[in-house]
Order: sequence, then structure tokens, then C-alpha cells
Amino acid sequence: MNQAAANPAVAYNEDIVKKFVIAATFWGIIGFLAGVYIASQLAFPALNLGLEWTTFGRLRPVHTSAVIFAFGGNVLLGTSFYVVQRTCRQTLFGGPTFANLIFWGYQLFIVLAASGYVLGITQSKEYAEPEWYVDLLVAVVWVMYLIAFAGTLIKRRETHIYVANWFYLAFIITIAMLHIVNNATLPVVFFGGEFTRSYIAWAGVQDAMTQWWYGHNAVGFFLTAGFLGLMYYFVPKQADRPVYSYRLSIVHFWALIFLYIWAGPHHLHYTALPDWTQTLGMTFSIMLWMPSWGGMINGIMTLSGAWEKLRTDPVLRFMVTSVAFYGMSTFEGPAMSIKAVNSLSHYTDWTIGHVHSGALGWVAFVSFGAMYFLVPRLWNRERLYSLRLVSYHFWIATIGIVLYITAMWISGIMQGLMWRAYDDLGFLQYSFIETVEAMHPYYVIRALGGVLFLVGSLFMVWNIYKTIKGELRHEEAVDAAPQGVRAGAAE
Amino acid sequence: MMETAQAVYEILRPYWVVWLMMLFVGIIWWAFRPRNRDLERHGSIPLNDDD
Amino acid sequence: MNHEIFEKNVILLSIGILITVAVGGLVQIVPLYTLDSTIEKVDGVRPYSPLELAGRDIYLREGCYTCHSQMIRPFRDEAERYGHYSLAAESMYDHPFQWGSKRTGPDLARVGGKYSNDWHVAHLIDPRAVVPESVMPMYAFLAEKELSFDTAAAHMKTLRALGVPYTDEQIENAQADLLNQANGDADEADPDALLARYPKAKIGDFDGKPDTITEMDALVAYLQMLGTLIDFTEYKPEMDYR
Repeated sequence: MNQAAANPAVAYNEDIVKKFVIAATFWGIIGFLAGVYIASQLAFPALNLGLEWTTFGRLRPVHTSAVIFAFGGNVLLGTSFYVVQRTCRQTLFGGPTFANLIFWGYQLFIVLAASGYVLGITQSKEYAEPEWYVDLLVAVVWVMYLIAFAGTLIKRRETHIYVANWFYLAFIITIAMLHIVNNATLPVVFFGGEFTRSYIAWAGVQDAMTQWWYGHNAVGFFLTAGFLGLMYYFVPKQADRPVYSYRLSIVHFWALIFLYIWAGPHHLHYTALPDWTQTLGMTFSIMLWMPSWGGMINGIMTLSGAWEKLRTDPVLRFMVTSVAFYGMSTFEGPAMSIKAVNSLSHYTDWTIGHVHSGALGWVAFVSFGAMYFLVPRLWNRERLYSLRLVSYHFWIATIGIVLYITAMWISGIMQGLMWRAYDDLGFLQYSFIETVEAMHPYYVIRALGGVLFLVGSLFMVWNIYKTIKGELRHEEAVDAAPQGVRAGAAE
Repeated sequence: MMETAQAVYEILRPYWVVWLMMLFVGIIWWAFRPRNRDLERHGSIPLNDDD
Repeated sequence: MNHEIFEKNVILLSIGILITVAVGGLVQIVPLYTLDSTIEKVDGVRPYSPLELAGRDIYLREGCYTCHSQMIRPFRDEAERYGHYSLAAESMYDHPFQWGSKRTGPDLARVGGKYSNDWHVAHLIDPRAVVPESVMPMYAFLAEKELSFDTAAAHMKTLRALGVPYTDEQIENAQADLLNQANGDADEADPDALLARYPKAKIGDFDGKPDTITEMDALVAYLQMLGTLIDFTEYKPEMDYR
């Protein structure tokens, strides 16, 4: 920081961050919309429309890829480019053209992947559905991303690499490793077959283990480590206080990345995966609770002594609530990885609810917080168009999440119990279809929760649009304290 | 040699939770030992920004 | 040692990260290839016939795994509902595995032979015509689409390169076997040759349209063989090391 003080005028590449923020907003809406649609299909199957392109089976990967890789990915790439430049006091390595190539290459990946699913082009590995040629494109873009990110770190003007960057770096490196191993496919075109089809090198039980090693760490490194990078930068910035404990973040970082990678087999409890692997997966999943809560404490306690800001700053409220949701789902996760609990929860909606408390509550909320932070700064506006709208967004989305996860808890636990229920004569009490029928009301409630979450995000789109246009909505300050998001900096 | 190693392994293996716990506590101590108090100043890196 | 060395050197930090995250996968995945006990030694599991393989490709294409598992767990209720718990050996030729993660619909690991071909076709065309409470999408288009199987041999060759033990004979006869299995009632059919290459294969005109081979034929042929290869009256649990 000493050198930086002597050399304050760094020309940051903010244009690339703007692009990623706009792309994240766009894909977020698409992804939430797809989620609402497929949730509605489960409540009202006529919405499958009888067409081959609109079935749940083809649209579900559109939803998961759109929210994880398109919305989440654009947030991660954009914020990492912002954070690495700011905390290194250095412009983005590789120059603007290189950065633009990364941006457009990544968008091309999303479009190719999503259009492929609708047309039936898929590897049918969960969260790794894109076929081999799209996987190759991702690999190239990802290496370029690593070069731009790590190059900026190497050229930094700050002596230390700030903790947010460790998490981003671990996310980039680990996703590269997972992506390559889990997508090792052989295209049939090499043997005279069609271009768009390949077979994965791994089979059966080994493929299952590899898939969930990948799948769980898409959660662990894409949706957790990457977004912890956001937390370690944007929460201190928005609260205008340093992180609660820098030393705790060291433990948090190494323990989290070491333990997470082992947790995959908890997706395969009681399957044909050998018991020793299942036991390892369960043990590490339970241990994972410790660093997860260490991180949560570090994020939330950053506000210690400044709690009143939560009342007056809805952007900070988004961020802190996201960390609270992170704490909740990282407590629920280890519990569900215990084999006895898993025997009930596996294959049911409980898992879906758990994922969404993490995805909506943690990932999306911390992303919304970061986007509300970034937009006025990137477009050089005094403040956001409206803090009231941020507050409405927060409450509508929170109610949506609560509806979603409670509906899924009830339907999941109920279905799990119905599957194993016996009547007095020792027969299975329910046929499978009776358990499907019982889900209907909860599927309706879940879809409503999704609609609320979508509506909330439309408030955000409007707010971002108006802010970029440079308009300021005249409104009374929330609880009469700050003038805007940037008020904290005025102290 | 291998037999000895095998025997030691057999004795230690059942307590693997203990060893992992010790490792974890060790890492916490290593991170929080007094000479590392100085690291806390790096927490202010994002706040030293120009804007 | 001081943590500062990681905080000041990108290369060291990257190497540290890579080592830290590589351990778990190495310990959990590599032994699954080296330990003999991972896959049970049982008789009966064979590679898919060309028609079954084409059907499986349709199962993959339509994302059936998003709602159906193919992995029966060793619980009393699952044994009664679906049958004997699944063995690792049963999916040893599955590239990729289709164990699934969600049961919006029932498990399909042993659905083979439980329902008639006519039931499957009627159910796939309009699930609610057969099961009113079902939330499954309609797959009527499968019955209208002719199966494209020019590349059947290419698919089998690809799988052979990945370790599925298809013989030269099986690959040479890919087209003939596929026609044979789907047109069981036709005059030129030679079921014995097919059954010699693919024991227990279900032969027939699955979709009730003898003139054409549709995607429906292939998918139903696949569904009808699921879980039928191992004779569990012969299976002894001590063969299973788990």
C-alpha cells in the first residue's frame, strides 16, 4: 500500500466489469424465469406443452446452467476483475482486448450450452451437461481467465495478496481441475459418428464418484469459494470496516479448500459406491461445518460496532443476510450428509430446498449486494437511483426464499416418510404415485416463492437501469441516517 | 521395517479423529500465534482504495 | 514457517492450492480403479445391444435422470417397491452412469419387464392417460420420430475404445442386430444370432408400428432390459464385498 500511495492514479479496466455486471443481470432474469417455469411444470404438467424442446428434462439444465454458470459465473468473473485490480492497485493484465475475448468467449459458451440442451445436445451429467466442443471452449476461456487474473496478481503494486484474491484463485484453479477430469469424453465423430455426441471416459461407480467430486465442488468452489471472495471484499467495503479477523480468514481459507473436496460421496450414500468412500465423504462433510462457520463469523462480525448500518443500508442488509443464509445452509448440509438423515432426505425435495437456501439466500443475495455496490461506482453516479427499491427487493426476495425452502422441507420430509411408511398389515402404505400427488400443494407454493424472487430481481433491473441512466429518485432517507450507499465513505 | 510401520499404523489408525483434531488445533495455533497479530493490518487493503 | 510467503508469491500460493485440493480426489477416486472389491463379480452383465444403446442415448438426451434414479438402496421399503438393491456391476458399462439424484418419478433401475410394451408406449405418449396424477412430460414425439441409427457402429466403437468389451462381431452386426431386435415379427428376423450376442435382449415391435423403427422403439427396448441381466436367485450376498 505504500507504493500505491505514491502512485494513486491507476487506470483500472472498469469497462470489462460493466459488461459482466450487465450480463449477470440479464442471465439472472433468464435463469430465474427458467426456474419459475420448470417449478410450475412440476405443479402443472400441461406446461410441458407436449413439445420436445419444452420438457422439464430439457429445460432443467437450462435453469441450472443459467443461474450457476451464466448469472453466478458473470458475477464471479466481473467482481474478481474489479477486486483484483483494486486490491493490487494494478490494471487488468493482458489488456482490454484480451479481457473482451474472455467476456465474449464466456457468453458464447452460455449460448451454445443452453441452446444445445433445448435441442437435446447433452452429456447428461448433472451440472456438466455441455457437450465436448463446448467443454473445450470453456477450457480455453478459463485458461485465459486464469492468465488475466493471476497476471494481475503477479504485477501487483501491493506487497500482499488480499484474502479475497486467495478465494478467487482457489476457485479458478479448482474449477479448471474439476472441469477437465469430469469432462474427459471421447467424441463419436472420431469413429464416424455425429459431431454433437460423446461418451465420458469413466463408467458406472467410478463415473458416479468423479461426477459428485465435480458436482459437490461446483458448489464448494464455484458457489462457495468464489463468492467468499466477494464476501471478503464487498462486506468490508460496504460496512467501511476491515474484516473481523484476518488470521481467521487464513484458517478459513485453507481448511475450507482442503475439506470441501472430500465431501462428494455424501451424494452417493447407500448406493453401490464402496462404504469406505461413503464414510470418508460423510466425515469430511461434517468437519466442513467448522470452517464454514468460521467464515460466517468472520463475515458477520465485520459489522461489530456498526450494527446500526443494517437498519439504514439495505445493500449491506443484502450482504449480511447472505452470510446468515450461508451459515444456515452450511449447517443443514453437514446434517444431511449424516447417513441416517440422508437415507430420508436423499432423492427428495429436501435436497432441492437445501440447494436453494444456499443458491438464493447466499449466492444470489451476496451477488445482488455486490451489484448494488458496483453500479453507481462503475458508472460514476452519486448513488443508486433508489434505496427504497433495494429495500423492496430485499423483502420480496426474502419472503420468496422462505416460501421456497419451507415448502421443500415439508414436501421432502413428507415424501421421504411416505416412501418408507408401512400399514398395520406390514404392507407399504403408499404407492409411489400417491406420494407424487401429495406434493402438489407444495409445488404450487414453491413456484410462488420463485415468482416472488423473480419479481424482486425485476426491481433490481429497473433500479440498475435508472442508475445507469443517471437518474436519482427523490426519496426520504431510510430511517433518516445515510444519504446513500456511498455515505459510509464520508466518515 | 515394514512390519514396524504396519504395527504403528494399526495402533494409530483407530484414533484418526484425534489426529485430525490435533492438526486442526495446530493450524489454529499457527495462524493465531502472537507474532501473526501484525497480519491484521492487511485487512485494511480494500479500504485504502482511492475512491 | 510464515503464512506471508503464500501471501506474497502467486506461484507458491497456486501450488499450495493445487496440492490442497488434489488430495481428496486422489484418495477417493483412484482406489476405485485399483481395488478389486469395488465392482462385484457377478454373471450376466453385458454391454447394451445396438437398439438398447440407441434407447439409452434417447434417455440421456431427454434428461430422464433429472427425475428418475437408477440406484436402489439397501432398505426394506426400496426392496419391496423396486427390487434387489443395485450392484456396482450393473452399471459397469454405463458411460455415463445414470444413478440420478432425485425421484420426482420412481426409480427405474429394475423397471424392465414390470410393464408391457403397450403400457410403456401409452404412458410415454400421454402419462396422464395411464396414471392421472402423474407430472411427467408427454413424449408423444418419440413415436413420430424415426430412429437414426446409421452411426450405431460408431457409437459402439467409441465405447469399445473406452473399455466396453464389444467384439468385432458385435460391431460388424450393429445394423443387423438393431433391425432384428426392433422387427421381431418380421420374416427375415434371426433372433437366435441376436440372443447369442446379447443374452436376454427383449425382441419385438415395441411401439406397434411394424413399418418403421422409431425412437419410441429404442427407448422402450432400453427400459424393458433395465435391471433384468442378473439372475438374483443365483446371487449370494457374500459375493458382494461391500
